[in-house]
Amino acid sequence: MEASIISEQEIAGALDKAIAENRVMLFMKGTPERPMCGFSMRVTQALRDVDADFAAMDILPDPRIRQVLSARSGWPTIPQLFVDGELVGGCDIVMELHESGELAQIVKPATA
Amino acid sequence: MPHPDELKTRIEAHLPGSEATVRDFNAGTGDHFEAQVKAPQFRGLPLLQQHKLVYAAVQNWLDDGTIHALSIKTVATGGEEQ
Repeated sequence: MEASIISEQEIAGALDKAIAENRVMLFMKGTPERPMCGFSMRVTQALRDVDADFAAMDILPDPRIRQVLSARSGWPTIPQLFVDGELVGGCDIVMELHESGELAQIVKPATA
Repeated sequence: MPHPDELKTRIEAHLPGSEATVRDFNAGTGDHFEAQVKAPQFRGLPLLQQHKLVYAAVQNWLDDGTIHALSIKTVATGGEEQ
């Protein structure tokens, strides 16, 4: 059983690493090129609209990814957008921030 | 699958004084819902926390997959009107 080779602790470690190493980190169903859910697609499009430099992780390959992620973030649904290590929100919040123009500011690269 | 009215009841019970409008927006499947919630508890809270309050009302349905998606729009009530 391939699924049992990786422990939940290792999944948690991989999630923490992804969030720590990518200033703008999106957890989604599918990939930015092939979103597998309309909500993930909309967030991907919003990030592209504002030219965000973002990384994405597909949560579908192992159901435990979503469980561990939701336990960590306290957010029950996918997609989940993190910026600077903090949960920004899911699709509704990202779309609201996009409409108000705040998304572009939030994901703008921090200038030294 | 829960009826939209069941979500409305849950949300309004979870947030006393709130008013929720819930509809099934993926006609037929009964697992994609849209909720507009007006509640005094939202005042002064960031959007993220407002949405978490709504999710909490139906947490077990989200956890067990009864509800696949819940789209949320929140409005803080009470105090001065904008």
